[in-house]
Formats: sequence, C-alpha cells, structure tokens
Amino acid sequence: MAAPTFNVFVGSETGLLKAIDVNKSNWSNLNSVQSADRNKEICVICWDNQEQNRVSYGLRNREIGTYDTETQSHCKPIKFDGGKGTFKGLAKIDDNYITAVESGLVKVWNEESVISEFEAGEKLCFMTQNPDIKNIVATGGDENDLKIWDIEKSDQPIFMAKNVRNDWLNLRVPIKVLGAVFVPNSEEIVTCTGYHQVRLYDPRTSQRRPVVDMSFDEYPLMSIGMCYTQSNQVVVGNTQGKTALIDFRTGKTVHCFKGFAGSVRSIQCHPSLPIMATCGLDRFLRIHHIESRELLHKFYLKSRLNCLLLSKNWKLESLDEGIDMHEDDEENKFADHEEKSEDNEEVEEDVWDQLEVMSTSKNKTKKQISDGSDDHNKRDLRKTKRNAEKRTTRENTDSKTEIVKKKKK
Amino acid sequence: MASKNKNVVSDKLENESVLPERSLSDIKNKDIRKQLYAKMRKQKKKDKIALKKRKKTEAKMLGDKAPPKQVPKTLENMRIKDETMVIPDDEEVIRDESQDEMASYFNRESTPKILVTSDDRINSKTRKFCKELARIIPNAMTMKRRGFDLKKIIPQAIEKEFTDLIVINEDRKIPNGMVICHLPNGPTAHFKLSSVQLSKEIKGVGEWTSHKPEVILNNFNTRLGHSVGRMFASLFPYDPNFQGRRVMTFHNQRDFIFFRQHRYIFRNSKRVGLHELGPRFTLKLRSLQKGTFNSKYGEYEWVHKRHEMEASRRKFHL
Repeated sequence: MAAPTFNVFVGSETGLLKAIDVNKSNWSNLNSVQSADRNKEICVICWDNQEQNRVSYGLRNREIGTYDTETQSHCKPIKFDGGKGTFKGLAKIDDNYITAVESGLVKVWNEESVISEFEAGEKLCFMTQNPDIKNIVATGGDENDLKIWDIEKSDQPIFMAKNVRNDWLNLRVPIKVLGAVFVPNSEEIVTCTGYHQVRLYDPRTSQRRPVVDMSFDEYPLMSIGMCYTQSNQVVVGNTQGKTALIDFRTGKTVHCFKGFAGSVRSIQCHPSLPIMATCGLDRFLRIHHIESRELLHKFYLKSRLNCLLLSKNWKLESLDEGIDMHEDDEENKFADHEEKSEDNEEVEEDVWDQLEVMSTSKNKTKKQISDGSDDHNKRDLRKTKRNAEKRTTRENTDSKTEIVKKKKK
Repeated sequence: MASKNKNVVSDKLENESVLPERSLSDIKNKDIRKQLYAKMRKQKKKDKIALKKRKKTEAKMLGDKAPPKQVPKTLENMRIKDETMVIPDDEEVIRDESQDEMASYFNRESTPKILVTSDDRINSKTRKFCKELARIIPNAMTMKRRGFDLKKIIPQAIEKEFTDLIVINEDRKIPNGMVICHLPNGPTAHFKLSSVQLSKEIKGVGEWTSHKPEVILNNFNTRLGHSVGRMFASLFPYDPNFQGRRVMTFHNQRDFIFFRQHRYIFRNSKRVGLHELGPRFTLKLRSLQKGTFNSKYGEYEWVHKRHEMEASRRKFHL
C-alpha cells in the first residue's frame, strides 16, 4: 500500500499532529519537528469528510489546517477572525466549518463566505456536533449552561438547560460544563462538569433540568466519550487521570480503568467495536478494551496531548478472526452475532440433555424433558413442572398432617 | 512386601551413617552457642577472602581468557525499562523544553526571585528550616504565612516579580511537605519532605559563603524527571561562581531526591575533598500539576497513585 493506514490522529500541545498505526505499533509526526511551536498548539481536531481520510485541526493562533492522508500533505492554514480567544470546538458540515471560540462566537463558514454566526454565551468551554444530525450542535462553558442549537435556525437555541435546585445547604450549585456527547438514536445528551457531575438531559420532555444527575470522584471531569457498543454507558476522565465507565441510567460506575498518571484530555470510543482511545497530559495514548478493561496498546508520544480522532477502520486480532470492521458491514456483523448466539444455545441444550434426571424424594415421578422443542419453551416447561411439584408436595404434606392429627385423635 | 524391604534397607543405611548433623541452633547453652557462632562466622569470612584471592590470581593467570567479573544485581540495574527515558538528542523533547514554562529562565529572560513561606502557625524547627532555605538560595526571602490563601498570595507575588514560590508544610512539629510553584503560570510540584537536618545538627559542618552556587542534577532521566530537574535548576542564578567552590546537589535515586550542599576542593586530578555545608533533606515527588497552585481544579500532569504505580519494586518514575 502506498499510504500507511493510520488508525488514530492525535494533536499535541507543541503543535505536532501525530498519527499512529496501531497494527504496526508505530507512530509518526505529520508536521516537521522544527516547525513545532507553542503558538500553533492543536486545540481541536475533527474529520474533514465522511470517508475519514482528511483531518482538520484548529490551532491556538486561530488558524485551521487540513491534512490529507491520501496525498500525505498539509493544506495551507486558513485564518479565522471574529470573537476572542482560541478554538474550543471544530466540526464540519458539508463543505463548511463550524467553529466555536472562547468568547462564545460560533460561526458556520467556509473560505469564501460566512453562512451564519451566533453568540453562545461567554467563557465557552466546548462545542460538539451531533454525529447523526449534522446541523445540531451543543455548547457549554463556565457559568454558561448547556445549550443545543440548530445551525439553520440560529437565533435561539432549541434547548436551554436549567440549573439544578439549590443543594442541601440551600446554596446555588455552580455551573461549569466541560464536555458533552449525544446519545445515539435519541435526542438525549450527556454532559460532564468541572464539579465532578455527569448529567443526562432530554430535550423532548418539557423538563429543562437534568433527568439524571450523578457525581463521580472529586476532581473536574475533563472529557467524556460515548460508548456505542453498550447502551446507556459513557466513559469519563478527570484531571487526576481517573477514568471510568459510567451507566447514566442507573447512575452508577460500572468499572474504572487503571494506569493513567495525568489528566485525561480526550476520550473517544469506536462506533462498533468495544475499544476506546484516551490521551492526556501524561504524554501517553492508551487504547483499552471497554468491557474487559484490558490495556490493548500504549504509545509514548513525547508531548502533552490535547485531542484525538479514532478512525473507523480497525483490525482487532482478538475479536472476529481479524475481520476488517467497517460501518457499512453492520448487517454482516449482526448476521455473525446471530449465528454465534444460536451456536451457544445449542451447546447449552446439549449440556442440559446430558445432565441426569433427578427424582424428588416426595413425589417419585420422573421429570421427562420433551425433545425437539425450543429453548424458551423447555425452560418454561421445567419451571411449570417444578411449580406443579411444589404444589403437589404441599398438598401431600397437608394430607400427612391430617393423617397425623387423625392418629393422635 | 516391597515397602518392607525398603524399610530394611533404610534402617541399614541409618546404622551405617552418622546421626543427623546438629546445627548450632540446637545447642541450649547460650555461652557455648555464642562462641561456636563467632567461630563459624570467622571461618566463613576467611573462606570468602580466600575464594576472592584465588579468583583474582586465576583471572591474572588467564589474562584475557578470564571469565567476566560477576556483577551483583541491584534495583538500579534491574530497573524496569521506562518508555519515557529521554534520549539526549531527541529533537522533539528539545523543542518542547525550549518552549515550556521554565524556558524564560533558560533563555536568560528572567532572573530567579524566590519567596519561601510555610504553613500557618509553625513550630521552631520549620521556622529555622525556612530561614535557612531563604539564606542558602541566592535572591530568596522568607515571609510569615499569617493565614493567607495561597491562591491569593500567588497573584501578588507575580506582581512583585517573584519567579518561584516555595511552601514548606508542617505536620507534628516537623516539616514534611514542600510545594514548589513556578510563577507566573508554571507547573506546581508537590513533594514529600523527610530527613530534614539543619546545619547545626550536622556533625563537622562548615560555614557557607555567599558565592553563587553550582547546581548538580543527577539521574533525572525520564521525561517527568526532566521537568522536575528544570524546576530545580530554575531556582538558582544562572552564572555560578566557580571560585567559590560551592555546589548544591540534587541526586535522584529510586524516586527519592537527596539535597546536599558542599564545598569541594580538588586535591589532585583524581581526588576531591568535600566539606558539607548547609541543610540536608530528602524529597519524593507526589504530584506535578500544570498551572499555578490549584489542587482541586488544576490539571495534573503526573500524580503518584500508590496502589496502581507501586505494583512492582523495580519500577521508578523520575
């Protein structure tokens, strides 16, 4: 292959864009090290197109650059003007960029013209785009609660969150939203705050307050990532490096991931495989298996890392005999899963059949499991038979006591 | 039948051989036991010396063909290889360091000015230690804490052009923690301080002079070690006065940083005499936080997590 296949792109504080090929376990800097400059710190990063072979990144000096993996070249950086402060969010819709800066200005623009712009409140901390519905974005910041906007009707947000009630000391709870992810196949959104809270909002209901409000550990949650392989779960990371998988329906931590030494700045989960990638201030990129908590890969990348992008193209040696997983092959994947589950059921069936039939002491009747019926029906049959036995034994005992009483008499 | 035969055979063997040897610990009489132990140890020493001599003569005789000298295994040479060890010519690290928070010191744009303070309401030992630190570090001053918040002290110190803030924490009447905060926006390192000995407590201590000291940083090899080493280096003025022969050493071994101050003199080209001056203390890094002191809401670059990181005795981070 002419171009090396990169699975993960990471932006660092020194301005270097790094690309990692996980299968070959090597990584490289896509810009030259001599050009590394603190002013060109990569603050935000996003895919430029659906096929994920172009990457756009926003720099501290308010320029936007693009890197093309096919031609392996950088495009000339485009300057951005308007608002104050650095980029806090970058997204792409069709051919236009959606950028958000610290002063709150969110602009939809391309090199020639500005399509729309709106103010999302001061001290903005992040802006994320809904991956399914591209024109919906969410913004939030310091004392700037979550707002969901539709770019096409940008004068008013379509959802404005309301602060929770006063706490147990009757004091106002401060707001500092640091990250948000959209829940797939619904309108819900999960946020993580600088006061170690994880909140779930549902814009469909009339309730503007969070539906679920839970707390995790004691340090600000810097990043959040949506877990696509399991419903109702997100991964959050805090400034001390504690990373955990949280179920936001039950409001509980499922489990924690070990090994982080520094603040986790960015978390991304793969859309179809149970893999997540994290990067942070301890200069390591780690790839974990979400369910088993196993550390699959760890790369030392020499600079403090700011943001990352996880590619859809992934080869996992442990799962599925190394089949390339693409989003288009979802149907095939489901077919595989169904076959596997059926196989499992047949194995279980054999186990049940091989077990000896036990006879109860009171009713010396043998249970006979009928052959050729479905698994569910078999289980139900066994249950009903057991229940029936219980009833008969109870009757028997009753009759026995009656007999005893009679004898006594 | 077979077992019976076996028993017969073993009985015979027992009758033939001596009774099981009695070890020295079976002797009940303490005096005799002591004497015999002393004898055994002397004999062992003699044997060891004889073995060494023999090996030496053998090695001399064989010359080049002698077997290589056996190197004992120590924690230092059994250390688990750390991925973050800095290679001397690593360009990326050099670029990173040339633009980090301490770069203004290394580019000679700012001169160090240090503020030493402590916990509120300290004991005499901590007070003396603070004063000593402020005396030995050139261009440093100490101030009473008087209950002010660190987050309020820091903006005022930045206005008065201080470059570093050192806070000594006290517990149970002895200093036990140190926070070094590089200003204006530099990293904050939190150390555990132990084995503090003031100059008066050291035997044979010399009087220190006010020459600008040289600084030696030993063994700060990993990337984290580099950052911490640079923080220490930026506390001292840039041009040391070699005529004063005053040197301060920060020696890192097994994640403990030992601080010593000496006056050295070269007796000849191979031998150096060292005269210890000044306090001694040991530091252990607990966390390195990006930005000025903000333990609750600041972002940490490295935090020591005891149960996760100390799983292996041979793994060190600095």
